[in-house]
Amino acid sequence: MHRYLLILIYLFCMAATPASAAEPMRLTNDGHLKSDLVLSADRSKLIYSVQEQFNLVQLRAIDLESLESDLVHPSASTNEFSYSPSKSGEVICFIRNDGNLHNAVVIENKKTSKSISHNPGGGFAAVRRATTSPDGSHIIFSFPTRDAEQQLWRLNVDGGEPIELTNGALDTYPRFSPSGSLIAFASTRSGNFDIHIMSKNGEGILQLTDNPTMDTRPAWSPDNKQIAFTSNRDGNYDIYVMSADGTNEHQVTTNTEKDDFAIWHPNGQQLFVVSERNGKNDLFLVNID
Amino acid sequence: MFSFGKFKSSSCSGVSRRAFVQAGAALPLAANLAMPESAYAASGRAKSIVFVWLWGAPSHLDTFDPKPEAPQNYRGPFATIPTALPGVRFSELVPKLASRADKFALIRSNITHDGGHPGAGTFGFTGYREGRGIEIQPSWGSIVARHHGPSALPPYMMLGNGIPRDVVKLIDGYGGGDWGQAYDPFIVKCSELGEIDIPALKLVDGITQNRLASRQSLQSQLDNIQSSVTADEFDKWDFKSKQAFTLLTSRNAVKALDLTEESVELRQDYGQSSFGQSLLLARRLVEARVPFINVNWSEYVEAYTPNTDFGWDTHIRNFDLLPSRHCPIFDRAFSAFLDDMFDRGLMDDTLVVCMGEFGRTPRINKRASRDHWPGCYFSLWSGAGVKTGQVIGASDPKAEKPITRPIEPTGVGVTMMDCMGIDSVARAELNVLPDGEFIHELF
Repeated sequence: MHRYLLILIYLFCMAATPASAAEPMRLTNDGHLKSDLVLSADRSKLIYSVQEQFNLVQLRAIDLESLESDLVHPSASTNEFSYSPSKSGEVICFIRNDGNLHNAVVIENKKTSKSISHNPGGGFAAVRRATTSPDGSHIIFSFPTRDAEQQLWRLNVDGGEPIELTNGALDTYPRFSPSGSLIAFASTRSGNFDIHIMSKNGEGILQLTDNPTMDTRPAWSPDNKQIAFTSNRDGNYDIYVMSADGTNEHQVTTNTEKDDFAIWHPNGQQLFVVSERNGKNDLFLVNID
Repeated sequence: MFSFGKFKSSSCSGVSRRAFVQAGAALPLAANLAMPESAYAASGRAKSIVFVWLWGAPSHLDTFDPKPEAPQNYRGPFATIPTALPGVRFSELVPKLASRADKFALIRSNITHDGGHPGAGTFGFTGYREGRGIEIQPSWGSIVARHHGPSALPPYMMLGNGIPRDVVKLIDGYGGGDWGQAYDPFIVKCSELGEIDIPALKLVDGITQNRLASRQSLQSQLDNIQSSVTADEFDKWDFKSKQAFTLLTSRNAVKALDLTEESVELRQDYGQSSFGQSLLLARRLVEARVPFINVNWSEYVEAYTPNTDFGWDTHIRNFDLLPSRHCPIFDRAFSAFLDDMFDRGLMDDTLVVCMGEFGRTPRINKRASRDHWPGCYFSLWSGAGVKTGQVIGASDPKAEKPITRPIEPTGVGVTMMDCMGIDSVARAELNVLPDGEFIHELF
């Protein structure tokens, strides 16, 4: 009798629990610090930076079907971040920590079989947050050269002199829209980090969020119509989504720990995020609605 | 030779300079050395100190001393948030500690006298300068260790990834200085998963299984070590190896180092980071009554340098690393540590001090970041009678310098030592910390 009562209670609880499909799906379980998520060109893998050892950050790719993962550069002996492929995958860039407080942009062009390193040279160099244009013609990265400013720069994939796209604020986390015509980025031109967009040439900067705490790390939806981003507006990092004109903001994650570094699933209905759960930082797939 | 006449330290125990100078001078050298240590021990409020060292130096403006009214090229991009204290605001990057501002005292008027890491590190660990031709003073932990005397567990333990250093050199003042290696810290490395590694054991032939990852391996290692070492072999080892061996043949000592004794939930509260698990280990060592425990954020100062472990030295990407990495780790781990220590009633007789070697430039540099700033920084204090929920001292509107009495490294040292019962007389007898003003506002 007692056993049947327990079964009834169990069935009642199961019925009252939200369907498992609505729960975030855990993709990793190692708990290491992760950041800089991006999909591979063929959309089969999620590539990210991960603290593999206490003194080494490496690029890792996880297969989205098998959930098996491999290091992108297994022999890398220095920190690597911000992997970013073009739409065809023929051009990729990433940030390499080449020296003492010194980062460089590495560009690998499979069309020309060339690999170049854009290194600003000499002393401390704060190159970071690089992104490849969908057509593989340019790299955008953030790099400061003046007091209290951090500009966005556009660099031809074959090298040469970079062109300054923005100035007058701390600008970072540039992301090309899938069409390649717009760049979303985080900027302090409003006083604190808010989400902005501009043309690929740096014209027509438009502020999309206006929140006294930090809004950062924008990510375009596959159809160019929405932007996901991280916000600290409730005292905890959560993921929000808005229309690409800044309207229809809504909160996606409500985890009591951090949710950060969102990018979109190709289906446009889900986001990959780095979510801190029980003190571990892992990759999750979360539903937007 | 002792030189009592130069001592200027003040003391919370009320011993005047004249009194202790006279007391010290009246005692011949032999009598000083013979003085029973128990005579000192009763005067302290703390039985343990946990000295949390934020190596590389966090920005004071972007954490605990924000200046929202300063020009944009000073205040930086982060918002301020309210804390548990009316009218006191912290940066948005430390929300958990903001809600626990009633659990510690915040000093906003620390200063130091060296703008380089090793030099400021030695100031931060000893109160004094390092350099050629200058005697290296013993560190706080070494003073406590000497005063405390031998015990089951080493009296000065250093947790984290190793001895604080930059890519060029170690902090000279991390250990016993001119007292010798007998007063150096006993180093225990702790991984993000709470695995323990004792470097001293690597020096001992025949003992290579020094990863203490689980209860089972701890016990089996203990048995292996005990059965594999003969007395003749033991005599050949150096001091550090003997110390490590003695530690690992004490079952209670090994138990104190075993984080698998803790619940999974509590380990998670501290977060999966070397810093977080080291703080949890520190709490266990407080329970085991280790008198001085130094927890280091990192071994290296550098924030972005190959093969280093991401210190707070954010000459580049300060506004990138702090929100995406450093502050979330620190905010979570130190909050969990405070909660745990208070919940277990350990703060009545444990002094917790958390600080770096200096602050960072209030004016944002041409790399959109912040450089070294010895002129003003913060420290957090709790336990052992510290009046929590208060802000002590203040900086000017740009956080460039204190507008109240500056708190010097010697003052930090004198206050810690006094709380441990190492008062001005005891310090005179040890010939340490001749300067320094006790931070009365804390109590």
